[in-house]
Amino acid sequence: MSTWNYVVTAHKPTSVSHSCVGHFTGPNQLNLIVAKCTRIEIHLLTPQGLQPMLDVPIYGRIATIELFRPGNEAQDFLFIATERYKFCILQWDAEKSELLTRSMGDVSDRIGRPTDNGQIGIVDPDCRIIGLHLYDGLFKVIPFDNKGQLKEAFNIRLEELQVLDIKFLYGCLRPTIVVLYQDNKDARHAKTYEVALKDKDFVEGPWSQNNLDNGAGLLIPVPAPLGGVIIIGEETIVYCNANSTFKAIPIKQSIIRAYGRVDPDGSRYLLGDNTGTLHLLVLTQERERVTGLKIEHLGETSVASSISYLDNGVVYVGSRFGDSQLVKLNLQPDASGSFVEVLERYVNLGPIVDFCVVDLDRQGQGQVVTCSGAFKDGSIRVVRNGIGINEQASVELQGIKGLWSLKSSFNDPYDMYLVVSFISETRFLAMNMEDELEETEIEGFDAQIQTLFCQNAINDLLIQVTANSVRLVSCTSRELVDQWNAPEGFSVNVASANASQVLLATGGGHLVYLEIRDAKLVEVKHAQLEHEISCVDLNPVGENPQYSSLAAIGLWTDISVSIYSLPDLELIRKESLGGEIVPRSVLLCTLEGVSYLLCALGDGHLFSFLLNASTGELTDRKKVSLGTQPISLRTFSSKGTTHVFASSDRPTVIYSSNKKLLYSNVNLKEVNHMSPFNTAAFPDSLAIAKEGELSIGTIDDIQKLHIRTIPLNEQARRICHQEQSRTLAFCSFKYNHDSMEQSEAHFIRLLDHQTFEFLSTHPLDPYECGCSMISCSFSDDNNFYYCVGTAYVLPEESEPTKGRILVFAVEDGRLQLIVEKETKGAVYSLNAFNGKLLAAINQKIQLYKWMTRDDGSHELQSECGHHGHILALYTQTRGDFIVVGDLMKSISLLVYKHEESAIEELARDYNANWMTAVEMIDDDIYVGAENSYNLFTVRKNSDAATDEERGRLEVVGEYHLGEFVNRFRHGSLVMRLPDSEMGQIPTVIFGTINGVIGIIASLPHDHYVFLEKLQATLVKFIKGVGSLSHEQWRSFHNDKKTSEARNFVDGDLIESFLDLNRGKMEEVAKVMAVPVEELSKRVEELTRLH
Amino acid sequence: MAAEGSSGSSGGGGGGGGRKTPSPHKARERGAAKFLAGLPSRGNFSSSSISSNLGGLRVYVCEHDTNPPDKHRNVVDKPTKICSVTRHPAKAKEADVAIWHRPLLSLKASKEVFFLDSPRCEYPCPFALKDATVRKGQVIETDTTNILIRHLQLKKKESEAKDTGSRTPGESSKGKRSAARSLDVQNSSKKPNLGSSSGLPSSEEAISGFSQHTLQSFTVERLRALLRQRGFTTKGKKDELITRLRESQS
Repeated sequence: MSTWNYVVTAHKPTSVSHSCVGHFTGPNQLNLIVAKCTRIEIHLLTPQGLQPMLDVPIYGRIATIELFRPGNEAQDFLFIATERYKFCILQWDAEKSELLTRSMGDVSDRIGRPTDNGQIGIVDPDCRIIGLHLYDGLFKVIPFDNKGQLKEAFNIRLEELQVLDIKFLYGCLRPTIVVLYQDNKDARHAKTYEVALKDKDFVEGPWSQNNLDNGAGLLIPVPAPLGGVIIIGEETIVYCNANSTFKAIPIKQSIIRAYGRVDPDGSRYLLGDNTGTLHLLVLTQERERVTGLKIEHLGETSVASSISYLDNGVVYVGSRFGDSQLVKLNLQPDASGSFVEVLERYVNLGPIVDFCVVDLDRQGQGQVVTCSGAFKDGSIRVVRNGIGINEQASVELQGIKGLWSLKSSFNDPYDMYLVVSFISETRFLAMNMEDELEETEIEGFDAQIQTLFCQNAINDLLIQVTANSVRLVSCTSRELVDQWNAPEGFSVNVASANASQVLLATGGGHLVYLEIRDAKLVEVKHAQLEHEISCVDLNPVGENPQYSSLAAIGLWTDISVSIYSLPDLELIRKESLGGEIVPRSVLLCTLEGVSYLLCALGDGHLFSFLLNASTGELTDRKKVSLGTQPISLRTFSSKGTTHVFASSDRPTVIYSSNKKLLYSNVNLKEVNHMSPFNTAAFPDSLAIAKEGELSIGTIDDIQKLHIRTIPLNEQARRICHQEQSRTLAFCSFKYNHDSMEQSEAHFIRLLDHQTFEFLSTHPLDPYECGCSMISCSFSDDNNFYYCVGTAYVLPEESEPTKGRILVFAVEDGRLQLIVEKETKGAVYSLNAFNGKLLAAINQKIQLYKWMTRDDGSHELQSECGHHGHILALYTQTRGDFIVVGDLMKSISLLVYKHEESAIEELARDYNANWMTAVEMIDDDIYVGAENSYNLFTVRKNSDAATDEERGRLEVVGEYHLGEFVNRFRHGSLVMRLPDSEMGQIPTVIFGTINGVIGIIASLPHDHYVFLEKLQATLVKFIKGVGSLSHEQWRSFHNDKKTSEARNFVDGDLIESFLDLNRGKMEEVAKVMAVPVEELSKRVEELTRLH
Repeated sequence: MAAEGSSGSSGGGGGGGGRKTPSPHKARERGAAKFLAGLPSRGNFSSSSISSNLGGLRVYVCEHDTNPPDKHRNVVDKPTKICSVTRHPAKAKEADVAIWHRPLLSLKASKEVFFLDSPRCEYPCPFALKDATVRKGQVIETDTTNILIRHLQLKKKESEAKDTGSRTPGESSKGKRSAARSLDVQNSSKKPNLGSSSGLPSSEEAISGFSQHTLQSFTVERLRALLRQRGFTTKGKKDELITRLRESQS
C-alpha cells in the first residue's frame, strides 16, 4: 500500500492548439512555433524542410501564444499566457541558445467570473498594448512604453458580457479592438473600441456592425492599408471597416475553426472548418479598397485547430482531433480536384477518450490501445514501448555460441555469410541467388572448432579466431592465406579484431597483438597482465575506421576495465568497477559523434563511460541495470546510424539521442547473441540467436514509443480487449455531414487483436450511443462476453432516461447479441463484480445477476442497487468494494454485502470535485482525476476510531497534472521483471485529451522521500521557462481551492536531471549528498518505468 | 481512409450535388488555381524533396536564471498602491540575500509582495534572486484601483462637466470646455509615447483643470477637502472657498 506517487509522462502532449510563424531565433531565421498544451516546440524553416529545434516545457497550460516585434527590435518576441493567469514574454538569446524572460506577471484578478468562451490574449499590431480578456466584463491592458518594455496593467470595464472574439485592428491611430459578442437575445454583433491609455478606459470606436450571422465566431483583422476585419460566420463571411465598406458572401454551412494568413498584406487567407476542409478566402481589391470576397475549396486536411502558412506554398495544419500535417498547396488540382498535398503527418494521440492495456505478445509487456482522434480523424492507436524486431525467418538451432556476419569482399555494402559458432564446430550460412539462406563452406576456415571471432579485414581478407589459431582467408578464393598459431600450452580465450588488427587473450593474462600487413599476420606486441583477461575490444573509435589506437580490456579478479594504447599495449587508464561481478563484454563505440566505452557485467549491469578517443581518458561514469544475466554487446546500424545491441535475458538497444545514451528494450524475451546481417534482400536486418533458435529480423525505427495507427474515419469512444476470443471491441460513432440535418450513427465493432481487421459490426438504434463496455464472464458460465451499456440520447431530454445493457458473445468472429436488458437511464459504467454485472445507471448503482432460463437462454436479473449520486459516471471494483466517481461529488466507496445482498455506502470524500476518472490503486488508496486538471488520492480510514472518521475518505495526495484525464488503467508499458526492484512497483496508466499517456507509480516511502528531496533540489537548478514557478504549477487548483501539491512528485522534473550537464549534475548530487553516479542510476531506473 | 478519399473526391470532383452544374465547378477549380498563384516565398521549402526529419527535437532544460531583466525599468510606482513593487533599499545591495516571496495560497489575491528577512527561502520561490545584480525585473502587476470606482469617477467627471456647462450658459464655458477637451484628446494621443506618466488620474492634475463652474458644482464638503489637501484654511462660505481654491490654482 502506498500513498506516495510518482507521476511521469510516457508520451508527451501531441494535440496542437496554437501555432505561429515569425523570426524568433534570429533576424534571418524563420520559425514555426507550435503550442501543445504544456509544451512549446520551436522549428526552423529551411530549404530542405522543417527542422526541429527545441521542445520547451512550460509550467502552465498555454492559453494563447503570439509573436510580436516592438518597432526597434530585430527579432520577434513570444508572448505566452497560461490558463492560470500568468503571462510571460520570451526572447531568444542566439549566443547562448537560451530563452530569456523579458517580462512576466500575474494577470489574475481577485474578483471576476472566468470567461466561458476561452481566454483571449492579443498583441496590438503596433505594439502599443497587450490585451487580455480573461474574465467576463473585463478587458485587461498591459501597455508598452516607448522602449518596448511593459508597464503596469489595468482593467477596463467591457460592457459586452458574452464575448466570442476580440482582435486588434491594424492601422489605427490609437489601439483599437473589435469585439464580437452575443447579446442576451442571442444575436451577435461586432463593435469597436479605442483604448484611451490616459483615462484607462474605452472610447467608442469608429464603427460597429449589428445583427451578424448567428454563428459568427471568428474575427480576422486585415492588415493596413486595407484595414478592417473579416467576420467569419457559419453561413456568411463578412468584411467591414471604418469607411463603412461592407462586403458579404454566403458559404456552405460549416464552422470555421482556424485561419492562417497567406500574404503579408492580408489579401488571402486559409480557412479550416470542422470537417477538415481547407478553403482559400480571397479579398479582391482595387486601389487599396476591398471590392469583394471570394472563397475557394482547396482540399482536405485533418480538422484544423491552427493553420500557419510557412513558405513557398507549404502550410502547417495543427490539429487537436487528428494528426497535425505539413501540406503543400499545389497550383494544379490532382485527380480528385484537391490542391492539397500532404507532405508529412505528425502523430497525435489526442484526444484519448478511452484505452485498454493488452499484452498481445504475452511477454509481460503491455501495449496501450487507444481510442484517439475525433470526428473524421478518429482512429485506434497501438502504443508500444521499446523497439520491435519483426521476425522474417527463423530456424531451430541448438547451442549457438557465437554469431558473426561477413561480406564477400571488403567494400561490399551488404553482408553475405553468417558464421554460426557451436561448442565444437562452426557452420557457415550464405545468401544464395534466391535470397535464401543456405549452408555453405569457407574452405580456409576451420569448421571443426568453436569460433571465437570473425571479421572482414583489409585486402579482401577474412579473419577467423579459434582457440588455437588465427586464420586469414582470402575472400575470393576462400583459401587460407596466413595463419598464426597459439603457443604450445596456451589457448586463446577471448579475441577481438577489426579490419587490420587482432587482439587475443590467452590464459595467464597473456595479451597478444597482431596486425595484418600485406595479407600476413604479424605479431606486433605481447604483454602479460596481472590477472586473467575476461573480455577485449578494439572497435575503432578514432578517425581511421580501419585502425584503432585504443583497446579496451576487462579483467578478472580485480574487476576492472582498462584502456590500452595500440600498438605498444601501454596502460592508459584503469577503472575499477567495484563489486564482485566480472565484466563480460566491453565495447568501444561512437554514437552521434561521441565516443563511449561500454562495459557489461555478468549480472546484467552496464557501465558507460565517455571516452576521449585521442587520449583515452574516461569520464562520466554511469551504471544502469539492463537485466539479470550476462550481457554481450555489439554495434549495429539502422538507417545509417550506429546503435548498440545488448544481448541478455532482457535485450536492450542502446542509442544516443541529443548526445544522451538511451536504453530501449526490445520485444524479445531472451537473446544470447546478435549480429547485424545487412543483406540486399533484408537490409538493416539482425541475426539473433535465441535459446534453440536462430532468427533474422528487421528492426523498427529507433525510438522509445512506437505508435501504430488504425484509421477509422469515425470516432471510437470505448474500447475493450477480450483475450479469449482474440478480439478487440469498440463503440464508435460517425457524424453524417451530408444531409441537411446533422445526424450521428453509433456502432459496436469487432476487430482482430493481431491484424486489426474489422470482423463484425452491430449498429445501435437511432439516438442510442454506447457509453461503457467490458469483457467479462459470469458465475456458472465459462464463456466470456462483451457487455455494452448504452443510452438513448434524445434531443428533448436533458438527461437520458432510457438505456440498454447488451451482452454479446463472439462466435466465429461475429458479434452475437445474447441478452439485452433495458435500463432507466444511461449506463455510464459497467464492471464485472463477483461473477455478476455492476452497472452505473444515472444516479444509481445497480447489480445484475446472470440467470439461465430453462431453455438455456440467459437473462440479466436485477439483484440490488444503491442510490445517492448526482450521476455515477465511473465505477471501479476490487473484491466486494466499489469506488464510484460522481459527476460533481468526488469519490465514494460502497461495499456489497453478500448475506444481505445489498450495496451500502462505506465512506465518501466530501469535497465537491467534478470527476473525470477514478481508479483503485490498491485496497485502501483510490486515485481520481477532476475537471480542473488535478489528480488526487483518497484513503479509506477503516482503522479510525469513530464512525464519522470511517465514513470519510481522507484526501492524502493532491497534484496539478495540467491534463484532462479520461481514463486510468492498471498496467505497464514496459516489461516488468519480477526480480527487479522496479518490477514490484504498481503502476497505473492514464490517457488524456491532449494525447498524453502517463504513468502513476506508487513508490515505497523511503524512495519517495528521496525523490521529493531531489525534486526540491532540482527546482533550484532547473528554472521554469518564463520565470513560471514549478511549485505553483503543481499545486492543486480548482475554482474552490488551491493547495500545495503533496504526496506526488513530478517525474518529468526528476527525469530532466539526466538532461543536465555533468557539472550541474554534480552540484545536484552534492546537495543531495549522494554520489552522482548513484543518483543518475536511480533516476535512470525511474525512466524505465515508462 | 478509402471512404474518406472518395468523399473528398465527390466534394471536389463530381461537382458535389449542392453545386449547380459541373461546368461552373470546373471554372471554380481554375479559379482556385488562379488565386493560388504567387504564394509568398522566402526560399524555404524550395528543395525538391522536403522532409521534416532533419534532426531531433532537443528538450529544453532551463538551467539559467529566468527572472526578467531590470533594464530600462521606468514604471513609477505610486506610493498609494499596496501592490506596487518597491525596491527595498536595505536588501538591494545584498544580491544573494534578497529573496522575495509570494505566498502560494494567495494565487488569486497575490498582490502582496514582501521581502522575507531570512536569507534563504524555505521552498523554491518564484522570483528567487540569485544573480549578482539585483533584478527587480519586469514583473507586471495590475493596477488595483477598483475598476468600477474608476469608471464612476470618469463618468462623474464627465457628467459634472456637462452639468455645469448646461447650467450656466452665460459664460463662454462651452468654448472653453471644448477647447479643454480637444486639449485633452491631444494629450492622450501623445501620452502613450511619453511613456512615463501613464495617465495618472490623480487629484492634483484634476484640480488644476477645474473651472469655476466645476468648483461651483462641488459640495462645500468637497471644496474643504481640496483646500485641506493644499494646506489652506477651510473656513468661510462656499464662494470664499472657491475663490481661495482658484487663487491656489493660479
